[in-house]
Amino acid sequence: MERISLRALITALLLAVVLITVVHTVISQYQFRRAALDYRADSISRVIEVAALEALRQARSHAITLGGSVQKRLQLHAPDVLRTQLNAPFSKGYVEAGYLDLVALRAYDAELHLLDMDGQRHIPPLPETVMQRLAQRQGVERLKTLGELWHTTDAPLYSVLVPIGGLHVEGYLEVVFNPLFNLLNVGDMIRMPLGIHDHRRAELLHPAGIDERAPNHAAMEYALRGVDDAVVLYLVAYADVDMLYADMRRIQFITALSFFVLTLAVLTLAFWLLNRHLFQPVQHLIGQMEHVLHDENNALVTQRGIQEVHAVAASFNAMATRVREIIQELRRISAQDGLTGIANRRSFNQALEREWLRAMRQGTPLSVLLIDIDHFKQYNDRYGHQAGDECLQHIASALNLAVQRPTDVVARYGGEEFVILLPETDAAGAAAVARRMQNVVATLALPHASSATGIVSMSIGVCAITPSRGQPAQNLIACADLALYRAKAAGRNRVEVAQASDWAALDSAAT
Amino acid sequence: MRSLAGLLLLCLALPAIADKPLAPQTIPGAVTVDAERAVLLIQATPHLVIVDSRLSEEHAKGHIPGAINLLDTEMTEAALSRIAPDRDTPLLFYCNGERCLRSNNAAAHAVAWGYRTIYWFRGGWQEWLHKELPIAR
Repeated sequence: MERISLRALITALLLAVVLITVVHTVISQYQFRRAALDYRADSISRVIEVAALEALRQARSHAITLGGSVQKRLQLHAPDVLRTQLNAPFSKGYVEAGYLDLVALRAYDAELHLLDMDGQRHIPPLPETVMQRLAQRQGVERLKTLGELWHTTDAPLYSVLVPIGGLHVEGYLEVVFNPLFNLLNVGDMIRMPLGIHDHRRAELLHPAGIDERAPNHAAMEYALRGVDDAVVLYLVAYADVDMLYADMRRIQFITALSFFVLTLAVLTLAFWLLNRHLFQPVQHLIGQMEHVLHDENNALVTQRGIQEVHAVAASFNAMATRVREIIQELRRISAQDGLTGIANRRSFNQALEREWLRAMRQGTPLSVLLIDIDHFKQYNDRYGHQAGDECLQHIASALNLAVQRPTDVVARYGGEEFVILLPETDAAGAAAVARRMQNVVATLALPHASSATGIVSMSIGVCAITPSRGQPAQNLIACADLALYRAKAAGRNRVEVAQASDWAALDSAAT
Repeated sequence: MRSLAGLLLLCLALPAIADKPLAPQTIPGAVTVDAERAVLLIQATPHLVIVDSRLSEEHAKGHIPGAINLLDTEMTEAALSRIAPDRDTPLLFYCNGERCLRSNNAAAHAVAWGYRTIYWFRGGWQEWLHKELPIAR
């Protein structure tokens, strides 16, 4: 299975971070724009509110002045005169009337019963809540002017109620005017195209210069509320958003650019640092580890990179060293004979194969001495197995000490059999070594009551050959075995050298 | 140290110097009233003489119904006696507002001349307009 690499993983993560920031920036750009537009709409709505309320305040002020002038002359108890007096602002030139779009004048008595009116006769009575509020007023409050914005089914109205009779309230005069007239110049006040809609959103004033195809203008609305908090008029200002958008785009561009540059710089730095201190050391470590695995020498990996990589390398080195020690120990143990400490049969066979090939290559003779301790079974029976083991140990160390060349191999071949490999040694040399061995063991003078000599002796079969191609190395052992057999047969405690007949026997057996 | 304290006092006093001074809260021998109490007073006192201590131009633009214009600097004892012969006649003085000292000055004079029932509408015309009370012209 293909495994993902650390570098690929981190690169993917960094790319994901970049992608997320880009997506976030793009999304936030839209949200930012919407928020800015909302904020703009909110602040413009406030501006419209202030301007509209100021226009209404001025109109109300004119209405109060007009009402104050008219009420002085009103004769509430003379119906004929009252009619004429109420008509005066419409028919005569009152200064304040020029600032208002007068709809009607209505006179009430102190108990708020309608006495008479002039102007548009079809306008409905004041909303019930206003009448109740008027009726509930007490004391000085009754003298104060009341102004309310309200609407009929088809027109907005503003009513101002001024007391008649100065400070001694005889009744009330209601000045009703259409506030639309005063609101027309709100657009001039706020310096924006202004549209006005009534409570059913029917257009009353069309904004100058704004048509259906004015995409660069955003409508910002303010709902003008009157009696009972009901919307009487919608004032809609059209703000040129091109400049707003241009400003925003510039700010966003700068913000985004600086953000990207910063992110890129940070990511580049992060990648560089990671590459230098993590990826490369890890890659290097992996390469060296592979090398160490196949390397017989005591090579170790270089410790570099960040703390963790360094620690991994150190651990690997410690482990490699420990494993090498264990391998050496195991190798030593596997090549040794457990009892005598000299080479074992397996190790001997390896040496034999090696030397066989070498001798074949170099055309030199190779000799093997196969040694058998005489009457060892009886020795064991008589002296016990522990003594038998000790005897073997003595002989093994004696044999091991008796060979002179480092290439000679002394090994334990089986129970009481030893074998000695002598490279570059012919039959005569090998026989000499065999006799020397016999002497060495004789010198030990290990007592053996069951032996004819009274001491431990050995029979030795010697075989020497210059190997040729196609011959198995084990033939050398078999040949020495034949010689040993003859030595035993001839009465033991003697050296017997293999003859050409032995080889012939072996060859015929092989074929 | 003393000069430092003086400097500090000067600093504190500077805003007050910059604005026109406020009229005092009360005048000895006169009752200070607000707009509501003034209205109740006017409604309840038939013989009350309301003295508008402002300039005649200001008076012409609008005034409390029933007020008589008499500028404080032109208000001699004789002039006041013409509109209020009896020292028991209740008098109500007002001018533009709390930064106007004319009514304060006039009321103080009236107290000195022995008028016994003197009211001073300290908030004056500004308060009257602000509360949208009936005005006369």
